[in-house]
Amino acid sequence: MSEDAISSVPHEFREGSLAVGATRWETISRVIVPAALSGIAAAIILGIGRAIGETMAVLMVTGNAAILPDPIWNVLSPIRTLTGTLGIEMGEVSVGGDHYHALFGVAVVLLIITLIVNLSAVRILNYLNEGRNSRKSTGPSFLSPQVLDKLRTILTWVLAAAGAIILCIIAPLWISLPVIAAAAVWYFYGRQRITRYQSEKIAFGLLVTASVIVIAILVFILQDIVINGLPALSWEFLTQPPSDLGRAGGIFPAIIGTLYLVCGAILIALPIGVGAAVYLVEYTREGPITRLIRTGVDLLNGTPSIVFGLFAFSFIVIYLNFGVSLLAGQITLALMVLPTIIRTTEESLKSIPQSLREGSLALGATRWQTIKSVVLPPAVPGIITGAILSLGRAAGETAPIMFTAVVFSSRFLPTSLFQPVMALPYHLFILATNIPGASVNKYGTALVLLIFVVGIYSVAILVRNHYANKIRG
Amino acid sequence: MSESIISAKNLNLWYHEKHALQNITMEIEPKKTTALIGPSGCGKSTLLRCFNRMNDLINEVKIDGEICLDGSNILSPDTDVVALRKKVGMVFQRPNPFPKSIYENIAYGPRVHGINDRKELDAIVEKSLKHAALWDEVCDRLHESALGLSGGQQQRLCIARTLAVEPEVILMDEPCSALDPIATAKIENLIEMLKMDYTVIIVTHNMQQAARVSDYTGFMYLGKLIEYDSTTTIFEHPKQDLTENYITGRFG
Repeated sequence: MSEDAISSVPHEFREGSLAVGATRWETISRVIVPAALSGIAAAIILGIGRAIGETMAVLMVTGNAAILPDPIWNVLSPIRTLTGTLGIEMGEVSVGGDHYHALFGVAVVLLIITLIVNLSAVRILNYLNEGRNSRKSTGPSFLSPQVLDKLRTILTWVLAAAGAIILCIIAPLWISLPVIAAAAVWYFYGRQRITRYQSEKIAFGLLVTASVIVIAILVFILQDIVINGLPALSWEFLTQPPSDLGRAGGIFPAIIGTLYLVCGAILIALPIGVGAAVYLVEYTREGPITRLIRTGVDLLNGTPSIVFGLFAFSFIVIYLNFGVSLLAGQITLALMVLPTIIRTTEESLKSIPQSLREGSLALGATRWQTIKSVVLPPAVPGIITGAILSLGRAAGETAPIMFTAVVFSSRFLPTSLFQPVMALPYHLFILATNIPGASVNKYGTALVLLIFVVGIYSVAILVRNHYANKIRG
Repeated sequence: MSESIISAKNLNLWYHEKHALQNITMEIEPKKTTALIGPSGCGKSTLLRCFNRMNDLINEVKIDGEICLDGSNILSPDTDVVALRKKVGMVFQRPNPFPKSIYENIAYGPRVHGINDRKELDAIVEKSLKHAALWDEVCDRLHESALGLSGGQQQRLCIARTLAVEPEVILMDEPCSALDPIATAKIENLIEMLKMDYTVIIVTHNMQQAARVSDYTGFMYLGKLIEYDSTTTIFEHPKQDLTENYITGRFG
């Protein structure tokens, strides 16, 4: 996402800066990053929200002991997260009991925490945007530019401090501290003594290191799963139902179940999401109402998936009496991916030049005709990208479906929308946490899920490229 | 002047707090070319966009006064804007062909107005392209993308696209400012031909262009229509000092 934001900075800015003799790093840090700041900030918000709301990955590795780390900064102590609590206990309580209500209380706390994180991030984002535009706008501003500048500096420091704290927590322990300290020392004292050419080199080195780390992590995960999972892959594994609690047999119903879930979710979410985005971009004028809707969508986007799961469990499964069923799972996943679809559709609609709309309207086309034949066709690749992203996410999610749609073991495929299904991520989760001795099948399932998600991505990318070519004609 | 096709009376327009058009009153004669000239930001394009209500698309615009087209006030809220824009076509500063084939670009207008018969569309496409002096250059690649055309060809395509819906008036907003001199000459010839059948209103930065193509010229400055008369009068015996200063290049 940060990459998108950075690459959407107009090329002219880059050339303009380089043309006045700035080094590449100076161009990046003074021109490009500020211009892309809002996009990057949005990416960070989403990242934080995702990390707080993540259930499954955390559940598996944190140990789930309901204790406070002792001392509090001991990052090696097992802990338990809000999401983990929900994930573990929700499956075991009776509906309507005190425990049940307490869990909803936990969900509310979790929701509020993420809302605060996201809302403050959205505020900062808007503030940065306004700050940048305030020089141009003639609107009334009770803050003078100097005050604004000062505020902005303070905000930057607050952000930096927050970043540093988060870094300390998540960084692989104390090893990275000297590096950070060195960086800080360099930042405060060394700055003047380093020439711009040296800082160019240092910056370049750091950027390369960051890229290498990202790729290394990816390679490490991939090789772990592929090496361990490959032996499990066989024709039987892909086409047989599981037996002996998943230790033997295959995962055929889980593959089909995931397919059903994902397709259903996208069929539900796409028309609603695209419709909402078209309304927001094409039919409304910018104002308090659209801002409200947009903030709402952003917050929904940052809502932990397990909260969606819980909501769907109490509302769709129990209140609407759908039962644990395929349809309930599809609706839950659809709700979860809706914000992504709305935002990406919105972005791709906004990137269609206004001149095309004017050209069409000037011919006496109605607004709907304009949208249908001029605005939407070139926006399709962007909309498909959004659908891809959300498809991949929906396929890999466990939390929203674990109470609404899935069973661990089923020998048969569902025959109607109101029957539960198996799903790959849930199957994997259970194999990994509850079934000892299923190590081979566990990795096999992980590999299949990985291939499945990668497959979705590549098919969708092919479709997108096909459309892009067709439009260029 | 004879019977006018468009008449603006006491037209005022505010954009945010800015009084962008001030008390504009003018009559546009049918089947003639009228040029609007003036320095950047004087309101020429804004005035032009009033004639087919394109300013509706911009936030925070307030208009009062009236513009009569064929006897009815097009600024009144119950005007059918879609029908108005069919009658009053527009060519923009930068060519804006749709990302479709050449054929589809032209056929788009007739299609949205309900013509779906293939033969009829073929005929309209051919006629419009010929009228825009583009037919010979593109007749063998009608189904290729319009984005592969040169800038000048794209602009003539946009003119052909406008002609295809058979408007009465064609508005041109600096149609040559993104084009090279040869392409500009072609468009100017085209304008010369168009006024046999259409009323053309053209906004231009280029005074020679106004002198070459137009029958009437309006000089605008800071949101006011300073002087409006036949092109010969404006360029040879301007009545206002401001106009003379601008024409002779002393400012602007």
